[in-house]
Amino acid sequence: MWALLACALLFLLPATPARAQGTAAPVQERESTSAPATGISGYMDFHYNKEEFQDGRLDFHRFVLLVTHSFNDRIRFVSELELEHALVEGLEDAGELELEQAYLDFLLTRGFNVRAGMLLMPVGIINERHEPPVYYGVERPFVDTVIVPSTWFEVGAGIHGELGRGWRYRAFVTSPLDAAEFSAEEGVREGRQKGAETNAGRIATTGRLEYVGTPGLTVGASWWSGHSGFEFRPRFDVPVRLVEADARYSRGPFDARAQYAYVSIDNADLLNDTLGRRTGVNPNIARAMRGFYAEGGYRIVDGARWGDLGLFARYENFDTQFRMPAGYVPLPEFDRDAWVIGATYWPDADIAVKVDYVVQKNQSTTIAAPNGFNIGLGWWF
Amino acid sequence: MTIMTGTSMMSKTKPMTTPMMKDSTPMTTTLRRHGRPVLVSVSLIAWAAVVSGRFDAQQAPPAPPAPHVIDVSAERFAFTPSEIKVKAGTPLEFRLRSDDTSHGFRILDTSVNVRIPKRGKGVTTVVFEPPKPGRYTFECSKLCGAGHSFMRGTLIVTE
Repeated sequence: MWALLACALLFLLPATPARAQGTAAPVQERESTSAPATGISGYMDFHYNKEEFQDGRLDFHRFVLLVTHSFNDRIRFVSELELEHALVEGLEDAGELELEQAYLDFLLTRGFNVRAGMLLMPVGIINERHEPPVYYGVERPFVDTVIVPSTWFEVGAGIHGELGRGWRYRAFVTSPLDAAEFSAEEGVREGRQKGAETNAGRIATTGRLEYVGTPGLTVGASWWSGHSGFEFRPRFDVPVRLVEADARYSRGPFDARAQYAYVSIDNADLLNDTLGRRTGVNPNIARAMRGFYAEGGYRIVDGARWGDLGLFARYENFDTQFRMPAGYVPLPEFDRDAWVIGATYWPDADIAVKVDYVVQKNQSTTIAAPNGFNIGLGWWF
Repeated sequence: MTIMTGTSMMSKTKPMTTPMMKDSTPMTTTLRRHGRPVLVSVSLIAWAAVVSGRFDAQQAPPAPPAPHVIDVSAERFAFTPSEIKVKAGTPLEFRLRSDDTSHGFRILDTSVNVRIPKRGKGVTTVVFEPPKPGRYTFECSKLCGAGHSFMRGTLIVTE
């Protein structure tokens, strides 16, 4: 990680003056026409959620501010600070204040750039592209919550760039997940260390290869791999691997997307035994989880003076107990699927009024998955 | 390096209309009344116009080459196409359109830096003549989301 940073700095030192000398335009002109050095932007959304058999809840879900700064054309700073659920009290059920991004980008060449700091994991559709107006549905997809634990961010460094003909990549080394926080219901989600005094005794690698060369089409594949077991005595490793593939296509009023993700956890039996001894309850963590979804949307009103109106339907199937360690029985309530149907009204391209209905099912004969009704208002500025 | 910019609402553009003469009677009456002198005068004027037109055509500088039109769509977080190859010596006309929020289009080390309007709000046109062959990096110059810094592309100008 540090070697990468050193290479970046060595590359940057001679590069900046040489570039300025070779430029045809005077320096003053370049500076006067460059992008603003510091920018501020953000997105927000609040929701009304009503699940079956429960009272409805109003929640100011996200208040996010982005602050960026360009030191020059080759060194940039990007940050994203998020307040979730409006209130931070330090209690378990209160909101969270999260630093989701805070990195320096050293832009060296088209194909090789270095990034270091708090990074978004380049996994899936939603994790890097989650402004409310750009996705259908009040809440993010279940697969992008319990299989790909978005918003997923960790401290690290890595490289990214373009390979030509519409291909681009990113590859990062980061702090790993904490296997002690895995669960049967939410998979690896609670294992995110979120850059807070993370245990770096083991590292993780992650990356994505993406094709954006055809208008409206994005196709990508991602991986994440890390040794997630630490602080266990006697010591043992919990290697976790996640592979993911996704595609997104948008043309005119039509929009479609699909994603598949698979998580494997080695030594899940040892992990269950260890955590069971620690807490007295066996967490029943699976050795494999998987989920996928497909979504289609259509703007029935597109380009009208008073805004756009789109309808969508999404099918999701996700199972956090897909494969169990030997001797463990999967809990059928965690083998779930869901239909989400709804509408989005955009009075402006950066404002989305959303409504949807969620029909959930699981394989259990005793525990029902609640259906739900959601209304949301989200915006970007 | 030539730069011209403009934003148009393509959907609201009306077809150009040509004014028409509703009644040709006045001209016909004049010809009948004055006969041959008028016809000779008209012929002379027409001949003079043709000759002067040829003369002007010989003296006028050659018309500049028509710009090479490049349609670019912007969407969080990519330009399509993100790699553009052109020959040197031809002005480029970028027609920039967004599929979501407002973006920027800036070519580094040049004075090109324009705003791309939001989806459905029109197309920004910018004419740019690369000063010399080489690689030019373009990028989104308006903060557009979490992956804003990935929004870059390359213009490759060859001899």
